[in-house]
Amino acid sequence: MAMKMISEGAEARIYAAMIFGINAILKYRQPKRYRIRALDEAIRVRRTRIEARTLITAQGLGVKVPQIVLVGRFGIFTTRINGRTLADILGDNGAKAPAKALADSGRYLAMLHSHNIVHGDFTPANIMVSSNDAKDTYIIDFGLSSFTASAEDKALDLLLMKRSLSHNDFQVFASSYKAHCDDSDAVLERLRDIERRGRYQTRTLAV
Amino acid sequence: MPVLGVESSAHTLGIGIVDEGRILANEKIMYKIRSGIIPMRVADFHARNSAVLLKRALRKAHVGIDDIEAIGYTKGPGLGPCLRVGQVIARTIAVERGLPLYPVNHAVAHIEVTKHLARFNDPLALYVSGGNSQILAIAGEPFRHYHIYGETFDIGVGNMLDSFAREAGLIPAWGTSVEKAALGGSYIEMPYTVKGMDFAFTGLLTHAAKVLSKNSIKNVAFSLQETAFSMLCEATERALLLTHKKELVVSGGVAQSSRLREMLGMVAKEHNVKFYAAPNEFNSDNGAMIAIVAEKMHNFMDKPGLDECTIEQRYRVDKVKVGWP
Repeated sequence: MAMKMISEGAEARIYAAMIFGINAILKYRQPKRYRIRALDEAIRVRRTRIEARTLITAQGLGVKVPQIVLVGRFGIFTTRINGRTLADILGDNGAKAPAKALADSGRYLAMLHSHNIVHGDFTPANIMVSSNDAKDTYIIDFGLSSFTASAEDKALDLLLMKRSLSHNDFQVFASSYKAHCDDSDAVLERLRDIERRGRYQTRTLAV
Repeated sequence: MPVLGVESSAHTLGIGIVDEGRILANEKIMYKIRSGIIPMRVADFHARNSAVLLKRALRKAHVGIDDIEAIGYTKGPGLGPCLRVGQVIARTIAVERGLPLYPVNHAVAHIEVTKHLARFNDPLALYVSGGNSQILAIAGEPFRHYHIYGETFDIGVGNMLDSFAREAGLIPAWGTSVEKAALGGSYIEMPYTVKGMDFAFTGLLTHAAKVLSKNSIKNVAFSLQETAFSMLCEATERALLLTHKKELVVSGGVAQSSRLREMLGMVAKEHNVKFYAAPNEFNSDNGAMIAIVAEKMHNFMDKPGLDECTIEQRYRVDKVKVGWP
């Protein structure tokens, strides 16, 4: 099977791959030499498993995510989404965030949180807008996700978005989140708490 | 002309003298702790030793007090009573001699002295001490400052290691003892908490303390240390990829760990990034790093008024204007 690497992150390499006749990508978590082997493998296996599990659960809830094709110990094959990340769209000079993507991602995050799934790295880089006519919104990269009822963890998902978006864009996102989340008051209250804590008062988004 | 620096944020009183970036003296005296510190007692210790240490530093540097051109001291972050002693020493000399006085941020000083010794221009810095653990780099115009890309959600890694040492009965209760205890240990699974470029240590500490009853100190210490340092390395690696920096430094008390240095060296090598860690006398608290920054402020920034020369226990690193190249 010939595979072409299309991107390399801190944690995983993404390859384009055809598998079972499906146009797929492979997300492979490469070993990290700085970690002792036992710890390294434990982390890679755990994250791969959690990612597969949350992808399947999220899909069952009706959240648009890449579809799983095959799962190995350190890698997952999923269907390939053709489109651009919200971060790329925002990065274009003068480009505004599409309102649909903001509202969709607010709703999807609310659906995940209502079922105690925390994304763990919910930033515009992990929100994709498909290039088809419907401009569907997809949530990707569940590598740091977890199953938890913790309001703190849920609030951190929101905090990442708040730091990444303009004030107005965040309002669009947050009002959609509020409208669809069972327990949004507790999460938003916790978000205010986190921001009040000394460590975060002056912190703004990276770059 | 020589610049004097006074550091007293925690258990070390340090007085350093630099001249055009050359470190002429870096004298320190440390309050001996077995476990934990009581700020007032340490402040007393600093006050008692200040005159002797000042004389020692001047003698070492072969300069007289009349030769000093400017003075810097640690404004924070640190323990209030301890910071106060250093500030009073520096302020008294400055006022009496009519010298400019510069308040210096402790974290900025740790990073700047490392950058200075490495001869780096624009590194990503992992700052790891008792109270703090942060990943930073200079960013921002017009307010140029050390931007925090990632940091601990709860306690500093040094504090975590110290607390574990206390739980395990290791003496003295700090990271070096944990590193020694960890030698030859084998891995048992521990909670591993990294969120993007941030991380948290209390869960790890609680778990390690809990499993001490069923496992050898050696194995728990080993697993705790490997887990904590791997978390720091992973977050640092992510920040390197995000910022595209070509230089990496590690500073602060925990930078004395040879294992952490080894792991960060591997991260740097993997991404073709230059890596530097300073000799240990600059990673533990010291006066030379304060003098280094004070000299830069003296050369490139406006002289602050005496009313700005306060102490601040929670002096955030990202509130400090970096007005030097």
